[in-house]
Amino acid sequence: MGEDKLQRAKEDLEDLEIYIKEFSDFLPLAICTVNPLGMVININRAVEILSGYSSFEIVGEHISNLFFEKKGVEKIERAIQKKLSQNRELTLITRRKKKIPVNVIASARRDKEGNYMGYFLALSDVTEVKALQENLEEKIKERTNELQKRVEELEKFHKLTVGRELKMIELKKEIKKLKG
Amino acid sequence: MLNKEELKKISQLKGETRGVVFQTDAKYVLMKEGEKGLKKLEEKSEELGFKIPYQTAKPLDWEPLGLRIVSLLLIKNTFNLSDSEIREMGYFAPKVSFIIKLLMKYFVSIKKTIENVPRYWAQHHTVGEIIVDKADEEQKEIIVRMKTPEFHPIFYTYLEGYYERIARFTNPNMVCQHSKTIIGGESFHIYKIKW
Repeated sequence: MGEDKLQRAKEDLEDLEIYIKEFSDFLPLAICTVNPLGMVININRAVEILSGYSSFEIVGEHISNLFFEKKGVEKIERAIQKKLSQNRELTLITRRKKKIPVNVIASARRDKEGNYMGYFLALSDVTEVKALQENLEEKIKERTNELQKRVEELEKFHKLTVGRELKMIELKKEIKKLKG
Repeated sequence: MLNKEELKKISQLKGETRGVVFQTDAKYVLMKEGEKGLKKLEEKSEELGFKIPYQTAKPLDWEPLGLRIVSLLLIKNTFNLSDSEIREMGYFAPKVSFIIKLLMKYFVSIKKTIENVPRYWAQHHTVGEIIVDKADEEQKEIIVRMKTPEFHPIFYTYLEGYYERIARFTNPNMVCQHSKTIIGGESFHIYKIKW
């Protein structure tokens, strides 16, 4: 009976592992599992696609090796140990040394006694958002320049018209003097 | 050259190990030699009379430890691997092992890892034991002693890489070195980890 239960538990565990693997590979969000010492212990398929590395090349490496901003990773680790949620932008360095801006969300892992077990990191590629943002900023800059030009033209026009007006008044005064 | 009779004898050694080892062996072969390589290995093992469950083993099932050693010998012979490549194969295994993922909770610090070494061995094998002889974080040295029946040397070479990788989950500078010693007339395999 005990053997049967053990066998069932073992089979359930294996099924659960398959389910977790299938589910995490399906997720389009890149997720790394990191131990308390900063070593990557698992990644999903989306991390492989985003970084260009295979799982066995990343697992066992320090998580900071994946990013350009080493201090940024340290800050994340410190914050999540203090139970603060973390969301910041870092630069991922791919296998081909390409730099990809990513939004990083970190969440602590704890065991059933509440001991700190490391953390999950979710990475989302913000290249397109950044490009859109930069494009938008460029457009705003162009529009601002255009408006500035218009304002300057208007000021010039204003000066000219006001100057003309003043001249007219002066001339009118002179004519009046001469008549008088 | 592989001797069929010798392999048969090895395969019948006492003791069991978890099926996950055949999965990690297969993953290593796939990584190095691709699908064709794995097929070649399966054909070779069948040719020699062994059906090794590279693609069918369940990670938590108990499988003959002897067959596990036969698998290492077959891989070495089929792909003409050097001893350092066998060590590399051991180094690769914890990165892709399902059981290691389950046991990661033990590798959260050097202290905790050392405390759990004996339990870790017992969860993987039904024979032998592993004893921590020295664990000195100040001197940066850990010495573990394996008390097992005498297996083929390939197994101990593989374990050198395997233990180094496990140790590196706590510190990337750790280096593991295997040696053999005799204490009180009894033979032991020693793994010294330094950093």
